Amino acid sequence: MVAYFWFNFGYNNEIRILDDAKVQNVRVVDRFNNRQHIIGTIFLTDKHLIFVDPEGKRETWILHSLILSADKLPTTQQGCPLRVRTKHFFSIEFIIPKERDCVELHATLNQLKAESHEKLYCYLYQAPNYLEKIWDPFLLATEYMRMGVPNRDWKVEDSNSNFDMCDTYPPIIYVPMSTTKQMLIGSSKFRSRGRLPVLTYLHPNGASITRCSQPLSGFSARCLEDEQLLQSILKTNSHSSTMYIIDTRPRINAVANRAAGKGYENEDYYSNIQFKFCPIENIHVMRGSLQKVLDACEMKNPSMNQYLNALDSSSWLQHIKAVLDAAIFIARAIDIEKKNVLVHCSDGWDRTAQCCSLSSLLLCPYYRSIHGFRMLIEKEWLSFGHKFSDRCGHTRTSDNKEQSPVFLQFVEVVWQLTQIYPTAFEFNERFLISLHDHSHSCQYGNFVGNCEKDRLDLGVKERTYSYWNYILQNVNDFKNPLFRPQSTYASEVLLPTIHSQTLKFWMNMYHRFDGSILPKENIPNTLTHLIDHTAALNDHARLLEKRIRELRTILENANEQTNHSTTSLPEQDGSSSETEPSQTANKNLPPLSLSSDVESGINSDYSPSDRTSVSPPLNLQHQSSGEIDDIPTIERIAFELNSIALDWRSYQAPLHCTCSLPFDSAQRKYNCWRCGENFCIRCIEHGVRLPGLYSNSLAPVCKTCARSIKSSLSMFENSTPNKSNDQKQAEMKSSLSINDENKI
Amino acid sequence: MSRNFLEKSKIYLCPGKYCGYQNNSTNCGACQRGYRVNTESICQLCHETLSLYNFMYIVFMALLALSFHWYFINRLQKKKQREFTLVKQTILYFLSILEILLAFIFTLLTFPPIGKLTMNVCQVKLLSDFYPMFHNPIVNYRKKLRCSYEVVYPLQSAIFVLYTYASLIMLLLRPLFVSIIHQKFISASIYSALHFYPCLLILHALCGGFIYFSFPILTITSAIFLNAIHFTLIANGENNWISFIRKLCGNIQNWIIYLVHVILLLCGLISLTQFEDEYHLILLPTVFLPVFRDHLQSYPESIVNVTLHNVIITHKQSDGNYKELWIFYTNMDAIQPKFPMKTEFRSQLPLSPSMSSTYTIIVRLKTLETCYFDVSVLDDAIKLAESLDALITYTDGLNCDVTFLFPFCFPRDFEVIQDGWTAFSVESEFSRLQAISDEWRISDVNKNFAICETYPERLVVPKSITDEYLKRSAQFRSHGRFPLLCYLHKSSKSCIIRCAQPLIGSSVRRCKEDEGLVNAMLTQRHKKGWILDTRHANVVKSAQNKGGGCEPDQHYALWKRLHRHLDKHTVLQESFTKLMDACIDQSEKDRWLSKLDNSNWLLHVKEALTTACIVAQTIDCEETSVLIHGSDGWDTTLLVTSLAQILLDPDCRTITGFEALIEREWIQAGHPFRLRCSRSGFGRSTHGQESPLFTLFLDCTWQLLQQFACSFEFNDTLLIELFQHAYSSKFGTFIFNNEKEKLKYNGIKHTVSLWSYFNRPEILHTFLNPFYEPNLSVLWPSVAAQSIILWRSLYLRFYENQIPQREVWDEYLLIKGKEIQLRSYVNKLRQELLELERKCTEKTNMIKTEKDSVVTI
Repeated sequence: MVAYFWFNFGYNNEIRILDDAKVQNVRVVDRFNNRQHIIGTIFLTDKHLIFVDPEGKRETWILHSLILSADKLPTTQQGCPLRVRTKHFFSIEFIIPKERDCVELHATLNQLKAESHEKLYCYLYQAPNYLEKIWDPFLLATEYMRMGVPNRDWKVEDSNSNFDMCDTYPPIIYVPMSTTKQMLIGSSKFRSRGRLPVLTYLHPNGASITRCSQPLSGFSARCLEDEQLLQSILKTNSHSSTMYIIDTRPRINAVANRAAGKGYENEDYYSNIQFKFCPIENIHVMRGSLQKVLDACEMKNPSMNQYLNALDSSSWLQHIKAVLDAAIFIARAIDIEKKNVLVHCSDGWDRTAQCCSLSSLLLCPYYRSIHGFRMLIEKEWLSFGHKFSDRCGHTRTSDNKEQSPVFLQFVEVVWQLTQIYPTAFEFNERFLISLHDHSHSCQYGNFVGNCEKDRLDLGVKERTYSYWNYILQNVNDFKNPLFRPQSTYASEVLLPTIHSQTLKFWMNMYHRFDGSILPKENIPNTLTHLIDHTAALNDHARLLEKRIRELRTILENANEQTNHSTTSLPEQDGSSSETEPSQTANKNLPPLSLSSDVESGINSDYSPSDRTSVSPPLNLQHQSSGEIDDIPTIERIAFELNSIALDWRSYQAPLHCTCSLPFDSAQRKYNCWRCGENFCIRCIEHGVRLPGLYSNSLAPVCKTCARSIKSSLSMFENSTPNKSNDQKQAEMKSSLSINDENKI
Repeated sequence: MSRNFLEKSKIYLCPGKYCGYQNNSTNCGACQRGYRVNTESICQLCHETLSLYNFMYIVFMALLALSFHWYFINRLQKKKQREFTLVKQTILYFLSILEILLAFIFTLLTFPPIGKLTMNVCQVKLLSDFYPMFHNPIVNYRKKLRCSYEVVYPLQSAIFVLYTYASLIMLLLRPLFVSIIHQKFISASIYSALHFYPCLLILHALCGGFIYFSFPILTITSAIFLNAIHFTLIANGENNWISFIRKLCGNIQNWIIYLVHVILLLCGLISLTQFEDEYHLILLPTVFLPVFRDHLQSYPESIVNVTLHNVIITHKQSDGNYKELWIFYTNMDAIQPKFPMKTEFRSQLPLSPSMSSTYTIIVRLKTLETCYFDVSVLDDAIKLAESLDALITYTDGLNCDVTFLFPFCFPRDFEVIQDGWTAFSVESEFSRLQAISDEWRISDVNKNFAICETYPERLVVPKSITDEYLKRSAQFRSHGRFPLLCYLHKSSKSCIIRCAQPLIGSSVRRCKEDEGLVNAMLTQRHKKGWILDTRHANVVKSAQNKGGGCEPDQHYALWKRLHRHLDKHTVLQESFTKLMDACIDQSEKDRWLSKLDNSNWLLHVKEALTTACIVAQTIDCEETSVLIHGSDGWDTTLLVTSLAQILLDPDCRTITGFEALIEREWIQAGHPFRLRCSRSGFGRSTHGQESPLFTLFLDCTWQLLQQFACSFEFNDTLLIELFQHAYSSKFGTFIFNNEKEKLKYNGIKHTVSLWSYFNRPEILHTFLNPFYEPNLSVLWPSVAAQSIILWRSLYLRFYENQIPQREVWDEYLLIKGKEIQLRSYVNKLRQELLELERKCTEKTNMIKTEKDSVVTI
């Protein structure tokens, strides 16, 4: 089976099919079953490549900006095969009957890739209405403030405000109090690309992580300013008389760099330092390693030994372990030895970013929340200039040699940590996968460009949507249901012991489109399902409680009233005449509510006889009691009960959505809150206000239910003219808003 | 066995049994007095306390002298009856007791520790310890190395010293006594004593070893004989009881003699009990203050007790309480001593018990745990290791008496709700079967295990087949395991049949009855079936030469044959051992994945699952029956049939269903658990019968559980528990090889069933999968290489921190519980609301009618 489409990439935009970009009778080869082929049609739009099979059941949407490569393979009897690989590890092989079509398609696909930053997808992308082009401003200063900086040891330095000292650093940097401008400038000249040592993380015990790039030391060069700067960094921590300098390269690479006039700090020149290499291989090795992993994943029916051998020879997990080991070493040095750590690699934006961010993640529980994790990425990766555009190959012009899965490795290490400590992280696997995908997709402007300066120049904040905004709007999808903020692991420094056995292969990342390989039923999905159901029921229960309270008071009042019926007679009389029309109007209702009842299969003990006997005096009681502004009429209650399903269809049961899209485990299934059935993302409407909920929150509802809710709501309104004015308005408003939603 | 350890620690050894390195010297030779050579060829100071047996030996030698004394005193009395009065005689008796007692005490005081009523002794291991001069080695056939010294120090010399003291004290006391009473003839007792002491000394010097090892028996027999003789002497022709007793009681001398005999008898008995049962395997019952640790924690200040069935480790917890940890010998897989011994350090070793370097004994358990004992005294460490090693060998699968195992002494400490021995009877399975098809019956053909030893007594067979047919068929099948129904599919009515290989041999014999039996099991609808042989075609061929084989096509025309090779026995065991090696390897260098790959374990899992899927597909999709056999039909056959049933039958995915499956397909089907599970992932195979087939089955089940997380009523805790109990258990379920053995040892009466333990709410509760939703369809797992993953929660559970995982589990329960609770709460609220609504309606109707009446007025 082939996976069909990935939900993140806005399918509901206006689709513009390119001229002549339609190829028919295309076969798709199933990797796991050579005999079974799917025959369908390829459409090309300006954003997507779409493959539709004849029954229209299966649609494969591939975003152009995610396409890694489209290769024409040697022609076979059946036709001309075209293999499309994406950056999120999807690989599909089309067999196109006519070679000419294939050549054209191949050429068009290559052309459609953005040739410059200006043409990236984020400038074309039209987000659904609930997303707005609002950029929640990330202020580096607030994040440093949270860590307690500036304080008496550290100060803000704005000498980089025009990016003249270092163009890949943020405008403001944090340096030790005792430094002078001269020291900073001297040091930045001595460091590769001007990336001088600056503070990135300050631990509550006073130890800190600083990052920089390699010194231009060569074999003998030295720089007094840089040595002074390091000494002043050392002095910020009163607990220890020495500090670590960690070079995250293997020793050989560092020594080789010396010949090119770069290298590493000479221990003779810098006093009180402990120098350590944490061997993490360079971007080229990593790229090769990932390629081997992907080759292993793409093997057709491998034997157990072939597969394990291929995974082993890729050394991917060993690289992951190296990164993790380095991060744990830094975390240990900070937390246990209480020493300052200076981290650098070659340029200080790949391995350094990995190590600094991971050790911060281990050290500080704040970074394990969704918001904190965002801060971490904004700070360590975006502000300090990880070259996203180059590493991810956003544009056609970008150099292949510059691409490397550095960010993927970081994401995977975080995933490995979530596997070791499942209760310590607020976000889930889906969040990590989405983060990785969007770093490639360019759907949001966050990951465009190589550094802050680039993004400023490209006007990303004015012209694109923010990824974080998207996350916050769908935060429920990305929350880890197992997160336990009070558990020891979630609130402490994490210092795991890592053996090579500890690391797992991330099936859901690399195999996510091979639905037949992944577990058919998995627990995380079931958990989301349970959590959603609990949320729905909880909200509903609160409404029910409220209704019961109201009815109780009414009942009590009624009791009083019957006792004093003679005295309150005129009052009653007047109001009863008022309610007469409503009674007649309500008689039209039962059939409708009955039918909707059958649909949603609500409790059967709700007998129809109750429903037909309408209770106008209820309203009357209510009006006389005066304090309660909401009137629980019997239809209303029935309506409210109907709008929430008590039991949800099991997550496992349906294999197809009603739109006949087959489910697989990589896809998120949504339950309609009204009927409880499972739907795919296309068949569900987010943001319908259900009357059965206490809070006015937006609930996901399937399209049929949304329609019926809408119609019955309007019916309901027509049938109850005796509502108080403001309530009517509110109802009107809500129905309007629902209409709005439906238009989306 | 001790040689084993020497090889392990790789030390150059002295030749000969009793030669050793002296303290601070590099020459092999005799040890000093008070030292004994240990297994490392080092002379080590003897500092063991005097054991009861050794003590009794000295007592025996003292009593021997005493009895001679008394004999001669007695003879005096016969000579001079008149002058030798009773009083004098008694005084003389007590004098001799006093002499011997004093001598005994002085002897104890003399030997180190000097001035204390005890001795430090060397351990006596063999008879030859008393005669080291016969064991002097000849190095290179040229030079004789003289290593004669008192190996059994001080048992040899103590007797000499004892007798010397005794004679000296006698020479002091008796003349004094003689001079007081002025009767010369009494000095004869001194002379005779001076005569017999040297005789005794010579006797001891020559036969000390024999006496040492035989004195308890000597004492008992001699005590009984002497007593008998004594009584006959007293009786002396008397035929009357009363006069005999009067004669006996009247004489104080008789009393004393009788008393001495009783004491002798007691001594013998006490000494003899030392040699009881397995105690001789335990060299060191208690080790104090070693550090006991496992992978994640270490417990200093532990006490290790070696008892009859297990090692009890008591360790202090952080809150000051003591916690006990019991390790069964049946659970110990391998003992790996790790002594940091190098030749250059050897000279310094013996005298420094407080040395900082510790001797680690690594105990690998069958349940895959690893324990470390850090013992600071080398000798303790060696003894501990040796005792454990001996005990492990003793409890081994082949040569062990089952009734010695712990389940036979395990007192049930819980309330049995449902007795596990009777929970899964043939009848209950049959009634289930009856609901699907009525073509079957229960047969008693195997009563008293007459035709097949490894099948249960009552069996389900086709109705159309007589017992006579079954008997013939059994003769045709290996081990009498004739074709037997194991699963009948509900929808297609096709069945899984298992048996052993047919004994066709190279001459291709045939058996009409067997063919009839097999064909009778085919369904009416599809008169075709598959025969699945779990061996490779080449293996079948070689088996045919040995008399086995596979059903030939010409005789079984309705059946098609299929070969799916599944490895077993040594290959599988080796694979498991390699897997565990890879799992415990914590070195940085070696590539874990390639080691995992090398172990081939996942390959075996994949193969087993694939074969099971083929069977399930044939049954469910093609609707044809499958007959499965390997060679004996109790290893891989069971693996395939049971896995196929899990795939096909939703009942097997419930807890009771799974238990029933194991009981039916593994225990009653005669999987030889005790043989197969006598070694686990670390131990070296002793008889080639070990094989982790059941583990493989559990692993495959786990793979299914992992792919269908919501279709199983149980979680992996149940599987892990089953794994542990299969290898080491206090329950009797997995300790027999087959039903016959269970009956023979009366296992049902003497042991407790594991299912009785499992099927109690508090235990059952821990096995429940909170996400279980009954899934009635057949499971189709993915058997692609990418989908088969390592069962970390079993193989790595002692090497990874499990606390976060436990937290996750709690969280699961919490989330699920909350959902259920909320659902019922909402339901309740809704009903309440409707109730209120109804009341309101009534009320308003009432008001309305009231109002109407008012209006009409």
